[in-house]
Amino acid sequence: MSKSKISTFQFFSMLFLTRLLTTFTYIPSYTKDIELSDLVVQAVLRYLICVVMMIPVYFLFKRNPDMNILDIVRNKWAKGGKILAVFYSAVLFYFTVTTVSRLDLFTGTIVFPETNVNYFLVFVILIGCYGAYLGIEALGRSAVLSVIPVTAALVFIIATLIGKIDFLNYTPVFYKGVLPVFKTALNAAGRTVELVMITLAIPVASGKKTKSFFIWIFLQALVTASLFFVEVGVMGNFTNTQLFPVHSLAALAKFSMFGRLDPIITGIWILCAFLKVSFLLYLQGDILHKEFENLSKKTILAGLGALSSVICLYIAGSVQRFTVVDNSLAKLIATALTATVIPAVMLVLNRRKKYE
Amino acid sequence: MKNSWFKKRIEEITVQDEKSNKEKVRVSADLQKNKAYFKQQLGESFDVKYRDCTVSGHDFVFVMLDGMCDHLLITEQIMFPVINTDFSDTNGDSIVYKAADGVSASIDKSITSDIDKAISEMLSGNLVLMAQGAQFAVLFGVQSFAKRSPDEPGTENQERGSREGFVENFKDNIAMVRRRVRSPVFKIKTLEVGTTSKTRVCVCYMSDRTDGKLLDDVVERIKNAQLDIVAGSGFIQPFLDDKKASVFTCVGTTERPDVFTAKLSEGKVGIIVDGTPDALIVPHLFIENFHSLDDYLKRPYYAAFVRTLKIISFMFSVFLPGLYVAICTFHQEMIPETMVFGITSQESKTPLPIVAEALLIHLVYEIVREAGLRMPKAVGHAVSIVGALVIGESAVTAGIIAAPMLIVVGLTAVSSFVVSSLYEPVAVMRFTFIIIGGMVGIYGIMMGFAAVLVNMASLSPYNTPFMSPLSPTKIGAWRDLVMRESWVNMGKRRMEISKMK
Amino acid sequence: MNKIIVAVVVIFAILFSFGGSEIYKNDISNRLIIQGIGIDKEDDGGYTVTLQAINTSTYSASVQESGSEETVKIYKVHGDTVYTAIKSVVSFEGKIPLYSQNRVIVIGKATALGGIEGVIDFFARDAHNGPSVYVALAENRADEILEAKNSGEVIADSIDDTIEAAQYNTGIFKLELYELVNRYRDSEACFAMPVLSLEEAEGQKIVQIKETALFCNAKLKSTLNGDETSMLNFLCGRVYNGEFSYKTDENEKVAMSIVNCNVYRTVKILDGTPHYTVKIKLSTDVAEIYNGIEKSLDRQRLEELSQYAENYLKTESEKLLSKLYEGEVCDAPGYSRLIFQKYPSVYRDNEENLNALMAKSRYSVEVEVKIRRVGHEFVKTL
Repeated sequence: MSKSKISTFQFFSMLFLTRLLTTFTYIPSYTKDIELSDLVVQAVLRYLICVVMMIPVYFLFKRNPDMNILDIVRNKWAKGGKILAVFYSAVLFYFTVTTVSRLDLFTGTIVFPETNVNYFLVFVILIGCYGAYLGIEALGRSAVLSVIPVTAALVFIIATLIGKIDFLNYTPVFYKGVLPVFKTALNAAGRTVELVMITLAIPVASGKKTKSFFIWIFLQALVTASLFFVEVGVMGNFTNTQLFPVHSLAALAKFSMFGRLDPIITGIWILCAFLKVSFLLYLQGDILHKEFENLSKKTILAGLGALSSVICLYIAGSVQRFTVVDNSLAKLIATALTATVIPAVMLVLNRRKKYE
Repeated sequence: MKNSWFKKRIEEITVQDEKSNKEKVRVSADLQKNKAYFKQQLGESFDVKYRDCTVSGHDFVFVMLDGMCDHLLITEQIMFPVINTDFSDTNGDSIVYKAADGVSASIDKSITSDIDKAISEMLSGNLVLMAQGAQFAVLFGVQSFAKRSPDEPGTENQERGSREGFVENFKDNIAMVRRRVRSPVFKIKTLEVGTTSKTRVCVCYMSDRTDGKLLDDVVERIKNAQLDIVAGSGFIQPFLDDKKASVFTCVGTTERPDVFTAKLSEGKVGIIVDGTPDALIVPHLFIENFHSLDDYLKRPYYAAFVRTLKIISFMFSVFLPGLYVAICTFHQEMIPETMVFGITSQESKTPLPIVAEALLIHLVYEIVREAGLRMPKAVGHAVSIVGALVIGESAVTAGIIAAPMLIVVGLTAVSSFVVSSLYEPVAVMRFTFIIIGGMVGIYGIMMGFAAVLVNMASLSPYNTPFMSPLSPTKIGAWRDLVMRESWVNMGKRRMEISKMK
Repeated sequence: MNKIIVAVVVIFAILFSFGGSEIYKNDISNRLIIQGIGIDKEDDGGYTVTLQAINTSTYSASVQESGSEETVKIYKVHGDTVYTAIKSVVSFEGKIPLYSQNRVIVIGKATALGGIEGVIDFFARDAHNGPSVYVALAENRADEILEAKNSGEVIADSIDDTIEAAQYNTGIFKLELYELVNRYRDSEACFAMPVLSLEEAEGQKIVQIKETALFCNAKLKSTLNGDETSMLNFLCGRVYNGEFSYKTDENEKVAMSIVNCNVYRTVKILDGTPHYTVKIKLSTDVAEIYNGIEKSLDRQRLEELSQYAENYLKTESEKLLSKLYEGEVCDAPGYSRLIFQKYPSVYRDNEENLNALMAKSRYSVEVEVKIRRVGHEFVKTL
């Protein structure tokens, strides 16, 4: 990992915004097995699962505060470090593609339903590459600044709609059982690429990392649960008929004579998309540059940008291709492997070495 | 791409400026040789005057630039004492020393053996005295040339505060600053920039609070600036700016000595360039574009109000046209019911797409603005009449543009002058956002905004983040961000820019 | 090299802006901005869709040119489905319809009787159709409502203002699209919808809302008059402002203006039967007492007035509950959801036939009326 340092506030602001994007653009098909009120329950549960998933990482980094998972692996086995670097890059690349594809699905459905504006996603990737090129300090600072408008938009939605909540819209908790709620929460935790980001980039953050992590988790759970609470209370069953229910919720938020402020509110979410794509590309660029030093960061980023553009353009033309790529199980496996299993293995190996 | 096609084309029509490696030429003991050297270097310039005289059997020559010296001072304070000095028992180099001693101590005097330096000083308005047999020349500071008296700066209007502004002469500028900082901590380093112009540049700082590294960095950059002529402070500005490309500059400018002094008191470094009234200040933060001296002279609540107004105006001037285009093209649902009929019916009459209409009218506005800036004052009124009537009303009547678009342009134009220091980036970004808004709507504008934001966040001139104290967040500095604390509290502890790193 | 790339991009962007591109079909000037949609089902199974769109040939005052003075234009199109019907307008108008400014969907009676399932899908699916667009039922045909003119001017272009009045008038039941879909997806698909009717008085036509339609299984079942609609609003907890009036035993007619209203709904299952309790807490002002000017408003008098109001509201709302549930008409207040929330197992067991469960339930209404203000006391002097 590069030697640049950012504060934990900046780091977790970035993670806060990147995770919010996933919340804003969630699709009800992910939660089809549970009732409406369970959305709120699983919103809290998923973050508890995230905490549990991060336990190996916590102990591993307690011992090696200035090394990320790849550095730790490289120390033990240089070739293994290379293999893992490519694997982590591939995982991050997969998440980049799914993020951009979902964003394209979102904009194609909501903003440009009548026009083919595929160049928008190329634009997104281009700006993402630029952000990645500028480095983590720039991204961290941008994240802190972006938190304000994004939070303001969120508060606006909740504040304007809280009066429209109908308590009859809530369903009994665990109506379909505990297991579907747990499964949904687990899938949601699997879509949390931020856990992988922490595994790779936490040494970059300077400050009280554990405390900041828990504050992040708490705020994330609070925001997500509040959003779902308002969403279910206001829209009820209408939630499950919409491809992007949070956008429909934003469409209901009125202020004075302005009836439809959803383009502005959802436009602000684009800041989250930018940060997510940039950070993912930055991490990939950083990892690959360290392993393949003969390639400059610029070249690597350009290559990643071009490749992801081609793949995303291919996926953009078809909802079916999107559903194939955006696979919850694949994401869960990828996240679990990179954020939990591999760190756990390294923890065990390190402990064994210490014992020996 | 060192030998790229474009570079070769540049090399075809330009000449590399090389620092002179000329050997030092000593002042000759032969007065005629010295005079001949002067004439060889300066040619037949009519303003170079040579005044010969013989005193006590020794030949002297006074060399000066007509129009840059005070002749009365020369006659009374220099020539008269020299002519009345007895040099009969003096020989060689001591002649010039005795001549210098005879002149009043109130006149700046220096002695040099370098004839090129003597020429250079003579060209700066000094009087050069050389004598037969002496291998030194005496330089007397007798500059007097036509200069502007301090006047209120045209680009930085304030309601309260002094009406003084910097002038072209750097000594007068330094004097204005000295009057405001009567403390030995205010120091100046003088440098020469420009191979041909040899413009004097004063690097000003306060020794008890300016970071040594910052000062050294600034001095180094100025020294390494490869320039032939320095026609204004803008020539030096790029050398002081952050290396990353950005529409925003990390170098502040001011024409006001009070503002200059206040910035220096924060530990910043100021640069005064001879021949230009614009002083430079580094490092310059983004938020400072919204601060003005009036904020500190008025009540804090009003300062907060005005700063907020400036920030809103800045947002309007950058985003309003792009947002209007985006809303009318992609997000028509945002238009309130009461306005949709008016906007639709008027926009449907215009021949161009909305994005083209916006680009066209903003281009016309920039033309009118630029014309108003360059046009002689006598005909300036004609421009405003042409702009308002011809472009405004007639264009709408003829159906070329719609009235809502005109309102947008008007509001944008007025807003852009609230923060005039940011006019350059605002003008460029405005056009960019209009095009982006027309292509990909509000989402594109937000992506563009994100790109600008990350670019600004990446700037760290002199290790000071450009977006400080917003990001990285320095809560302590928020006492003077948008809200300002009263001087009763703020005066207890001063802000230092080195703490922003 | 970088400068060349930037120059090329800028030139391309400018050419793109000034040149032709399919994006310009999205320009507001190239769109047919629809403000109202009416849907009537025809005998052949197809739909007649009436579109009320902004008439952009009307000039603003500063431009002098003769043209139509009407601000809206009416289009009547036919198609097998709602979407195909609306899209066919392009063939003669040359502009693509824009739904995001649509304010009201009016459904014809024939359509409602047959079920609105096929009609609503397009509006819920299309992203530009706002979820807060109003849905209303036409007394007869939707096109009659949208086409109605007064002195040559279309009167129904502000039809949504009429529905918006629900926040000031308890006699109007407001329904937005997202609320409709929310209730539609319940197992019995019961909901209420305002009914638009054309009234003619002294040669002038006006669009009024006098009734509320009741739907069950997404089909029109019955209607409620104005007073019943008020009670429905109370039972649904949708009273914000408005008024109600009642008669006292002394034959006085008292009008109360509602300041604040809170409704609490609970259910308990006793001996296998759901017992619903609806508590209505009102804060009102006395607006008018007709035929009671001789009496001064003292404490006892105020208590009497409160009592009458409470009795009136209790009686009328219980009457409505009886009509809705015992007649197995419609679970418009959504009370079956209370069972779902509190007794999910009971709900699960009765999911196939909820109406029967609701019919056998017991309903009681408790009303508490507080009189906040009485205005100026008007007493006849001797």
